[in-house]
Amino acid sequence: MIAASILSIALPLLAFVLQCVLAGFSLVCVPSLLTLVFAVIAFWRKGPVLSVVTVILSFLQIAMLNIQLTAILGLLSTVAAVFMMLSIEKYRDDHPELADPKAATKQMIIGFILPCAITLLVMYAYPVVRTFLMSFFDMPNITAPIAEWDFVGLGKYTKIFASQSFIRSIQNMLMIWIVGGVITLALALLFAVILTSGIRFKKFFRAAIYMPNVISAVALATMWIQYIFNQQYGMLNSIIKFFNGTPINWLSTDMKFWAMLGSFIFGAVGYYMLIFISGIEKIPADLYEAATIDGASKVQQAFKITFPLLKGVTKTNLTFWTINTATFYLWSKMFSPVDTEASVIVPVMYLYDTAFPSKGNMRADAGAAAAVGIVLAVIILAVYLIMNKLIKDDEVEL
Amino acid sequence: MGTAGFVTALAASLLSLAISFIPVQFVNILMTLFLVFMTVMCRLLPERSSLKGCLVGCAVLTIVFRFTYMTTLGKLLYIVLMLAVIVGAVLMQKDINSRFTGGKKA
Amino acid sequence: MALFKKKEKVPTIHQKINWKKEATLLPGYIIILVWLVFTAAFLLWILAASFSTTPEIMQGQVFKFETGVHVENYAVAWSQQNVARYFGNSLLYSIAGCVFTILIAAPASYVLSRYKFICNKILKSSLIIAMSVPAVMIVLPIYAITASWRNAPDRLIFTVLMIFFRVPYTTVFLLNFFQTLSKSYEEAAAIDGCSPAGTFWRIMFPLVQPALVTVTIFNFLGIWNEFFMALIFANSQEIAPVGVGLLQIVNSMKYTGQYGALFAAVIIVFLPTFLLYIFLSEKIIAGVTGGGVKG
Repeated sequence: MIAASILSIALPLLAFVLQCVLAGFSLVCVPSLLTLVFAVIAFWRKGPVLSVVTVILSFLQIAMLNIQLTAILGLLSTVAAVFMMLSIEKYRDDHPELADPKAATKQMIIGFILPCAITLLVMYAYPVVRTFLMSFFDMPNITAPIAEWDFVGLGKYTKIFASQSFIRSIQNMLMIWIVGGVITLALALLFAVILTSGIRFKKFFRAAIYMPNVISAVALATMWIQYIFNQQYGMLNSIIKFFNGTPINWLSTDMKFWAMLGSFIFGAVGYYMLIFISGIEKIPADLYEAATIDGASKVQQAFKITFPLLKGVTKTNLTFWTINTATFYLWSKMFSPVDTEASVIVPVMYLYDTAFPSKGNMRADAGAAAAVGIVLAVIILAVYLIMNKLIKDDEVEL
Repeated sequence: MGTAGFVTALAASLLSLAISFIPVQFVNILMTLFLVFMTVMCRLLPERSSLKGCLVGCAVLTIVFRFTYMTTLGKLLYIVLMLAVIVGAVLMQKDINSRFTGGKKA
Repeated sequence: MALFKKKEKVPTIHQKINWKKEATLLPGYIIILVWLVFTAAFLLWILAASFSTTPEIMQGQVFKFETGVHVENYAVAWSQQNVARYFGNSLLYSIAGCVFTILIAAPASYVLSRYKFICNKILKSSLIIAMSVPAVMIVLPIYAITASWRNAPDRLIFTVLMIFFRVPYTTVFLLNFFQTLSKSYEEAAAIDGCSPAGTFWRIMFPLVQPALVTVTIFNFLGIWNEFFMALIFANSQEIAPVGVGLLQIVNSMKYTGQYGALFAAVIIVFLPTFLLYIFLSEKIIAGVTGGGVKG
């Protein structure tokens, strides 16, 4: 074991040194350094898991070192690491007193949680904080280091609220939220009520209505734009022509927003319908039976029993709808693929165009984009909190 | 099952070693050489599951890190071969597990 | 949509069709049927168009197939318009994403559900909050970092992003399942001398298989249909997934004018999710509402 361990420490060290000497220090030297560190720790703590990690890191050396000599050293050190791993395991088998259940549990907890925690930090905590900070600064381009940032206080916020495009995008978003929301949730509720009223083929209908939600939205949007709304041969215009009407240009500037909203609603209804169905099915059937005995019609039952008891799932649906509206992007992009059009612009689109301008003369304004993001997050949060205050869950009293 | 796994993994790693010579890709040669070594070690010491774990991890890393350097045909071949190596390792482990549980849990 | 596993048939009392009852439900039927007929109609048209030539499409004579069924549209879409590459990319991202997300999320979820330790509550709340954070709030700094790297391995970065993005949802989803498992498994394993980590991989992990399948399906669909992040991080022709790829095809349509191939591309892009859905619709629907959907 001693021999293998010494080799596992010496060989990466040699590789690291040679790599730095011959090609300077860069990212490719990192695996050797890490292997070295882990080999030392693994040998010291006689840790089987650590030694496995050492082997993997050592294998990375071969992949990343770019000089033939050092890569061969990497291979040799990986082989040495394997033998070190085996000898550590044998050592542990020969010395059972080393196995400590409590320590093993603790190690497992740390080992299992760490990747998840790293994910949260790297992907969520850091970016959110940095986005928040970015919204108060001006920077020459999005990749500028912090040293080049210019503090402007609320300057970015005032800038975006003064921008015509941004205001229009907020207007569009509100239209989607209110008009789209009412239509989508009403349709979803309608379908949910119909499907739970005891019709046949319920499973089939349910699956068929939800289907557009599952397939790729890009494909769906393309189908709508290229076929249904097409002026010459599109479905809607064909139906209109059939009834001798004049074909409408669905994708003109006036109609585009409504075309987009309509096609979006079509795909979205299914999801909210499922949530409503699950809410309706939680309502005990005896309530309906009692109501029927008392002579209430189906419609009356719907209004007096179903709707009030659906407050909980309605909250859920409203929350998801708000989030979907605030992050509405794909459909707008599909309906204005090359240049952003005011008729369909939404805040996320404004954010994207501000951060990644496609017209060469426009300057990327990462701070403003970040401000847009923060504004959207605040809107979502505000809606959620207000809704929670207004709609109290009605629990079914049994 | 263990033998089948070993044969699969060995064949796959040897094939990938061979492919690394057409055209000669030095890093690929080294990496696949190591995979062959590990496969043999897995067979020599079947009860050490850590060896198989390392083998699987290294096969994955081979794909991840060499993907961009391969021709289209090479990419496909490599993915298939690495998957074969992983399957072989899993089969070898299953063999051990079934021997384990057969004896231990009365 | 059929469950393809055999289940015991629950004895149903075959009710004779109650015409009076059906009549009251008629409005409901009509509404739904209108909706579904519309869906089926346009799907069929797109399918037919994918087998037609451009002139036929322009004249709306799609269902006549006067010049025969043009299967070569698919070949054109597949190779000329690079749908094959987009498809391969999406496959890579989706499969790698699903596998590694589970590898990160399942152990974390297990430990969070079973053991009490300092950060337990914080982590759980953080995960739930992370689930509702929209992508727009996190893309800018991530892009700032990755864009400043020279020779950045684009595909790797995008794959890692997809994995990280799905981890909170997967972890929270699996938490509920792990909490329902009884503790006697771990006690028995400990008696047999199995290490805690070994207990997880050999016993607990296989036990949550149904949940793993469901969450993998959702992750696959989620990554396959991802658009916003793909537009930012995977925009080049080389590494684009099907969503962004289709957008590029549509944009280039102005120049190539091959509408038959366009519709063929659309079909190719949405077919995997469609097929997945047909076979697994029950599972998917059950997973959407967290298992609250009955019969």
